[in-house]
Amino acid sequence: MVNNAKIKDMRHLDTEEKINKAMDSLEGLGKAEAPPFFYTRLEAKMEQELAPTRGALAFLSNPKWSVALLSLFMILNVGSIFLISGESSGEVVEEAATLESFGEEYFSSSDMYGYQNDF
Amino acid sequence: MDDSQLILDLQNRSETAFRELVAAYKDRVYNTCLGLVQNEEDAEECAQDVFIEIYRSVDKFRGDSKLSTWIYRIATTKSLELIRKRKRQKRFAFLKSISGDQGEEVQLAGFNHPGVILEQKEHAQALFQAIAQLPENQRVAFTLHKVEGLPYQEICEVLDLSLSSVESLMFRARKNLQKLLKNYYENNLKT
Repeated sequence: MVNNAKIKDMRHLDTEEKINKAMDSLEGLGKAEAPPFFYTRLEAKMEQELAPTRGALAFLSNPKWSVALLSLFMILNVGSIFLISGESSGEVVEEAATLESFGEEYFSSSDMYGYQNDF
Repeated sequence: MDDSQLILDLQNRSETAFRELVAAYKDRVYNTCLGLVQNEEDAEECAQDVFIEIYRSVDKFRGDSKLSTWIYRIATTKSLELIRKRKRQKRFAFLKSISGDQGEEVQLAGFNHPGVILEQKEHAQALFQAIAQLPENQRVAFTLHKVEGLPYQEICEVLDLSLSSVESLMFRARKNLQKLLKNYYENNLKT
């Protein structure tokens, strides 16, 4: 039992020592240097990221303008769908009316051909 | 070239001035980013983003603070943004793994800062792991002081806090680090 208590104490001291060593481990820390050719790679990244801000479509790089343009296209699309569906329902009615008058003209009343039954 | 002239030239989009700025600050920016993000590839990406942000927003720089203060501020902001992004990616990867999609296995290696003395490497690795678990403001304050070597007064300017606030952050950071390290070493002893 005494030995277990001793071992526990030693472990505790050991842990405390490690904690202190870890807390002091950054003493005398050297500064890391940027990797070689840092500027060259930075230039390449800037070319990619900053290029959309030039030219005729430069305004699209602004999210507000992109969203506004997208909304406009959606409104136009939805509007077109409504217009087309409205026109085509008009056409269907017209077509039905034509068919009906055709039917009336040729097949409506048996009296028209009643004279045939006399025979 | 003094700072005010450099800023004027940067605002006039002078490439020479930008090159000079990068040459003067790239090591400080890289070291700061590396201390925070704890990964060399991420630190380089972050450092590049810092200079791109400087290029984009130099017109907004009013000269209220020193140029170095402003640059450190951007560096810490960009580093924290990258840390948050990596955390989101890890969460997403974890959810994917639950759904059965193993994807690529991510190796979580301990971070070795290149400036650590050889004999201290193992302890420093444990410390950096603990730093990564601190709340953001404590993590930034501790890293700026211990890794980048900034005095408390300069940290106040970067974080726009009072001296007592920075002292408090450092005190809490040390306490939390000691707790985290205790758990770490006690768990290691058991295994």
